[in-house]
Amino acid sequence: MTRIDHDALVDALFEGRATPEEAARLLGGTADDELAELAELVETLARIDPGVAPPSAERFRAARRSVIATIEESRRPRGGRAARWLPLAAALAAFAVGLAVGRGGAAPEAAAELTFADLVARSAGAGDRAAGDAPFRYSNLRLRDAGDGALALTVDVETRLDLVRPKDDLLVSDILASSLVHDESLGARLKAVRHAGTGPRVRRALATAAREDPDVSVRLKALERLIEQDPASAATQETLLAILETEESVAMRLAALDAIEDDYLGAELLESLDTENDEGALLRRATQRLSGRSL
Amino acid sequence: MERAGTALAMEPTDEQLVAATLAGDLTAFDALMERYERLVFSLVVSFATDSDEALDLTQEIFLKAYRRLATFDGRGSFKGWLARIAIHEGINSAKSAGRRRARHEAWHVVREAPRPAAQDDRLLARERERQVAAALRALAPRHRLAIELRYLKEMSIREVASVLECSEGVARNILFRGLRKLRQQLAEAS
Repeated sequence: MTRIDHDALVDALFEGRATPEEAARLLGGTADDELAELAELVETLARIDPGVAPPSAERFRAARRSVIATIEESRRPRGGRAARWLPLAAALAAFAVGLAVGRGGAAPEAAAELTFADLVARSAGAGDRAAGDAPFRYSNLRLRDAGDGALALTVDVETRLDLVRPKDDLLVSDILASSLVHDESLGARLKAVRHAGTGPRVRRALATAAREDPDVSVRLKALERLIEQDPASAATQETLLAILETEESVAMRLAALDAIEDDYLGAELLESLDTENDEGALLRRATQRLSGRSL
Repeated sequence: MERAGTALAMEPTDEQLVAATLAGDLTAFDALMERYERLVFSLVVSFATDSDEALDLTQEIFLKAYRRLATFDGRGSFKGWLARIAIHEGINSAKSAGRRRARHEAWHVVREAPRPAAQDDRLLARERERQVAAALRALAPRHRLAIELRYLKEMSIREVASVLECSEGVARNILFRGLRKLRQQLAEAS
C-alpha cells in the first residue's frame, strides 16, 4: 500500500466512509494495532452522550422572542430608546444608591465599582435633555426580580472617551490589549499591535491575536511582537505550537517554526509538517530542523 | 427570475435566511435560531454551570451572530460560522467568570441501541465508555474540541475546520493527533 493510499484509507476510516473490506485491509496490517485501537475509540466516542437535557421547546421559544425583542429595541431611533430607558436608569440609580447605603464601609474594589455605577446613575438623574444627548448607551439588558421592590440588572454601559495619555500608561495598555481581542476594525487592530506596550496582559492579548485574529496581517504582526517581547516563555512556546498545529498561513508557520524551541517541537510534529503541506519553504525549513535535532 | 417570496416558499437554505435577515426580515433570523438553537446550546453547555446559564449564553450568541451577520461571506457553512462564534463566546464566558469550569462530571453514557451481548460484556463496555469520557475531558482544549465536534456533535470535517479556523487537512490532523493522545492517556491510566 502506498503512503497516499494509506492516508486516504485512514481519512475514510475516521470519517465513517470506509467499507468493511477497506477497514479490514487497513486494520489487518502489521503496523496497525494502533489504528485498530483508534477505530475502537471512535466507536466508543459515538456512544458517549453529554447527558444534559436541553430546555423545552417553550423555553427555547421564549429565548428566541427575547432575542428578537432585543434586536427590535436596538433598531429603534435613539430618542425613543432614551425615553424608554429613563425609568430603567432611575431603577439602576436607585439600586446603586441602595447598595451604597446598605454596604457602608465597602472594600476598595467594591468602592471602585460603585463609583462607576454612581456616575452612570447621576447621568440618568440629571434633568431633561434632548433625545440623543444621553452620555451613556445601554444595551444587552437582563433583569430579574430581586425581591423587596428591587430589580437585579445586568446591562452593558457604553460611552465615547477622548484621551491623551503616555504610551506606557496602564490605561493605554489595557485599552490596546482589549481592542486587539475585541475590536471589529482591521485598522484599529493593526494600530493596537504596533503601539501595544509590554506586560503580561499585553502578551496574553498578543498571543490571542496571533492565534485567533481573522486577518493574517494582524496575526503575523502580533506573533512578531510576542516573539520580540517574550521568546522563551512557556506561554509563548505553547502559542507557537498551537500555530504550527492549526495555522493555515505558511508565513505564520515559518515564523513559528523559526522561533519554537526544540523541547516543544516533537519529531511527530515535524514529520506531520513534512507531509501536510507542499509549500517548498516550509518543507525545507522543517527538514533543516529535523536534520539539526538529535533524535 | 424567481421572486424572493417564491424562493422562500420552499424550505429555505441558511444562505437565503441570512440574506432575508440582512434585508430586514427578523422572522428569517427567528427561523435560523430555531434551526440551530439546540446545536448552540449543546456547544456551550459545557462552559456553563447549569442549563439556565447555557440558555442565557445561547441568547447572547445569537445576538452576537445577528450583529456580525454581514461578515458571513458564505464561503463556509453558516452552521460552522455560528458554531465558531458559540465556542469563542463559551470560552470567553468561562474566562470572564473567573473560574475554570469543571467539565460535566456526570456525563451520561447512553447506548444508541441495545447490544446483543451478555450482561458482563455490557457492563465492561459501559465502563470503557466512562473511561473514554474521562480521558476526553483531560485532553488539551483544541484536541478535545475537535473530537467533540466530530464524534459527539457529528459535524463534518468541513464544519470542524470552520470552527477551528483551519483547513480540512489540518482539522483531520488535529483529530488524528487528538485520538492518538486519547489512546495514550487511556493506556497510561490502565
